Amino acid sequence: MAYFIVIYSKYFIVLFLLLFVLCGFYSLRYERAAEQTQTANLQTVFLFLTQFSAYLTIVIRTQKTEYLIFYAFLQILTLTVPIFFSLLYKGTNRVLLNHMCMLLSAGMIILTRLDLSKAKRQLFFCTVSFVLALVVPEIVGSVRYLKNLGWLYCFIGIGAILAVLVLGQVTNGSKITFTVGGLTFQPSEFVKILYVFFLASVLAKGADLKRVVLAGIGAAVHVLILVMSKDLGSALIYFVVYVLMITIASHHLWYLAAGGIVGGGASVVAYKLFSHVQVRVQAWKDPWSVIDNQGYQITQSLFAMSRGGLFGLGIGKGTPDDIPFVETDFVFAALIEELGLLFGIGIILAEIVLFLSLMRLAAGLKDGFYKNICVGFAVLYLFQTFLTIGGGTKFIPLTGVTLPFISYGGSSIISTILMFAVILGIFELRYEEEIKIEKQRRKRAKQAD
Amino acid sequence: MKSREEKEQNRQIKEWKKARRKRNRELYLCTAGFLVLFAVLFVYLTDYVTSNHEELFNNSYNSRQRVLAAQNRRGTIYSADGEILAQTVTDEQGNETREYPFKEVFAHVVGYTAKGKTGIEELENYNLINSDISEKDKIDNELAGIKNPGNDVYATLDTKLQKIACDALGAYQGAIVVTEVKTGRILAMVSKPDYDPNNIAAIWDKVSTDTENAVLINRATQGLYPPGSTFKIVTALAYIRQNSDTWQSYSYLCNGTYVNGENKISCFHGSVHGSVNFMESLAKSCNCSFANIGMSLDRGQFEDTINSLLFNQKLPIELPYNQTSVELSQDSSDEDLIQTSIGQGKTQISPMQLNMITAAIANEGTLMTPYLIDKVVSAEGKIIQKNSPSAYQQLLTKEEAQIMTTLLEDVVKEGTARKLNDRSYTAAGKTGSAEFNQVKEDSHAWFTGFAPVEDPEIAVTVIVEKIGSGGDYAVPLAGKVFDAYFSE
Repeated sequence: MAYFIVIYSKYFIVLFLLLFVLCGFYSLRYERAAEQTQTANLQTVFLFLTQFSAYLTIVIRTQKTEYLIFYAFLQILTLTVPIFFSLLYKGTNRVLLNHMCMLLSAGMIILTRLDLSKAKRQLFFCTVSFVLALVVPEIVGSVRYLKNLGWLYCFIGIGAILAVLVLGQVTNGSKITFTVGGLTFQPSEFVKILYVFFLASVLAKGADLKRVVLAGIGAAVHVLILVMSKDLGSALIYFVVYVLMITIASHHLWYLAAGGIVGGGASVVAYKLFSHVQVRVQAWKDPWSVIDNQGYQITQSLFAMSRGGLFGLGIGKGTPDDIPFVETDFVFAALIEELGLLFGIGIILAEIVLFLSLMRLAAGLKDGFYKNICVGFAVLYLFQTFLTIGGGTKFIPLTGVTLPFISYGGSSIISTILMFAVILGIFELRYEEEIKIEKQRRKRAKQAD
Repeated sequence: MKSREEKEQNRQIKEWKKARRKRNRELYLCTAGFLVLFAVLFVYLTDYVTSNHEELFNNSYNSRQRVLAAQNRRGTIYSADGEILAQTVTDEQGNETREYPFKEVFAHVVGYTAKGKTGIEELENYNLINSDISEKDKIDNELAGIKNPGNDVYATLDTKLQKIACDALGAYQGAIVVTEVKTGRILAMVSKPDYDPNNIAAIWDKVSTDTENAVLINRATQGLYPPGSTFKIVTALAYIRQNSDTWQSYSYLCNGTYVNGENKISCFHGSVHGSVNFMESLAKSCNCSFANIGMSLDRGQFEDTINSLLFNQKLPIELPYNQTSVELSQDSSDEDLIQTSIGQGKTQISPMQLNMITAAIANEGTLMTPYLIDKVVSAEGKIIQKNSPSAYQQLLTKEEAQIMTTLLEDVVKEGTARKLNDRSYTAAGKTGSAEFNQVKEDSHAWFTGFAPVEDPEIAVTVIVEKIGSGGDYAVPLAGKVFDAYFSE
């Protein structure tokens, strides 16, 4: 019996995830949080079933209570987080929270299988992040001058990444981390949030040429510092976020074209100037010829995915540990190896639902600041996802950024959860506004009578 | 009253939505752009993961092979007649050894696994190491702590023909290839010198460094030799194509030497053939006449004919092979043209390709894709993969194939391959004595041909290195193979 579970659970895991995602897409047709309740309930069931089948497999395979306890904690966290949020905030978007929990769970499943101690650390950071996140919507709702702090965000952000450039230590060739009291931070993960706030604030009252140029100067300083830190993936993300935010805020599509030209030109210059860029491009074009060194990681990632096929080998049955840095840069390949390509595609679709719900929220907002934030976070989130997955699958050159929610890493997980907590705050704001409009309408209707 | 209000409200909502759409044009475009990007990524991912599965599996950097080797017992390789060519035997301590009951007879074509993988062991590695028994049995095996039996591979090889071919070559260096012309099945493939794959680990240091004898090279597919007179098949075909109405009235007076400016060539061992027509030129393998034929050819069209027979191209051969080459073009010198026409000069051919050309002539011009693996079967008898014959390319027209058959039949009846006469079957073919250095006595002996002429079944190609003329040394070996095949 137990062995049958181990073998067939992988099909159920995929099935539950796909049903979950289906609910996610279905929920996009509703505009208001209240209308989503049924779909959200259904999603909770599928979220539970996905986790349950995965951890049942893990517990049976390992026969250790340690894993069972870990599962219990994870289960409680992911099931109670949406409840806490909806108790505190009437307008909260539970589908959004469900998706966050599902992606976190997927990361946890593979991380548990790779290294339980790391999974515990990750779960700890998740819990802390969610506790912090609980107050974020309140702050977003009540602290109205957040939208006026534009350049402050910029200076703090630049200060932080500059400090890392000067004082930080080198990790895998890039200067991106910073250790304080035994804890290692990756400030660029947090600066991302400030960066989007900065752009959103500067461009809040429209995006005329002057504002676009000013914001551009701030953005360029960020990007240049990141390039100097050799954190090219982040530099690229910051650049793309700027281009898309000014395009959408200004309603000028030609900014996108100009951004494309500048970005393309900068890439060529970077390729000519930096040897580490050339190495990455070489390892992308033909990793097989450099399989012993620069191509090793990416080819191991390709092997892992090819081993998995459509349904995967089953949890614990593959050898994803072959890939160096599997839990950060190549977690997607590990997912595909053990849970299959369909699961991987399901995960990407779940991420796309998050993106779409953010864009949908943005489209309905009148306030420029909040709208810009939604757009900025949506682009930031999905583009980073694209870079990680595309890089790990040899679709594009490898940039070495993490997969939000899924990759191992405290800074990444905290900043991503906080980022979405801000979005939940905006959902809450819109809800309150709707209530207000509704009240006024009723009042007017009464007067008309 | 109320309906007017409602209408008004609806109109407002519509307008509001329209305005929102307009306001968010760029936002929607960006969203759509991202969706397209991910759609492309999905297509790429699905294609990459599913289509490169086997190739990536066989890469030695992939740990999957080691993992599976620990779970499964490598499958057995069978011949077409059901004999075991390679099997894994487990002793009481659980140690596995790969056994090759026929020892050196199938050395190159079946290959080995101990020092890297070659031959069918490499070609079918994926199937041999995977086990397609039912999931239930896998669970039972896992619980019982025994390995799953890997899938078995059935080759197209015939042990009787392979043994005859191997014995026929004896101690000589060379190769023999036998294929079924109507299907492309490879019935025998021998390369000499050979080795005992059972001892490959023990003799590895010796054989892997022996560049002089190149024991590990499969000469049938990887050996490149000057084709000698067997290339006259190609020259003859080019002449027929260029002189479709007049080739039958061709005649030439051979006095043993052909002179063209400074270039002078002679017939083999100084023979003088006298007056020969086209058929006799080929049957007697008259170098002078073929030099004359070659000089009359349009070089560009000759090149086309050469390429139409798959020279200078990738070949549909599953085993590692070396690409054959002919250097001839519109700008080639007279000397190169003459040398090419009689199969000397820079031309190089592998026995396998010559066999494919022969098989195409025998099969009304159509080359069937040669293949080594008939089927892959799970330990429980489920057929995992079944290969069926497929036409690769029409190399020559039916009429051309008929003419060539008549010409090659005459080589056996009246010409250099007379040793194949008076057997229970009729054969057709061409001999060759390829000179590989300046000493005229040294030559590789070639024969390529098929039988029976009326309804061809098999094509046999033989090369014996450094021994003498094809008619004397290669034809009798081919005869032994034909005899064995038709004695059934």
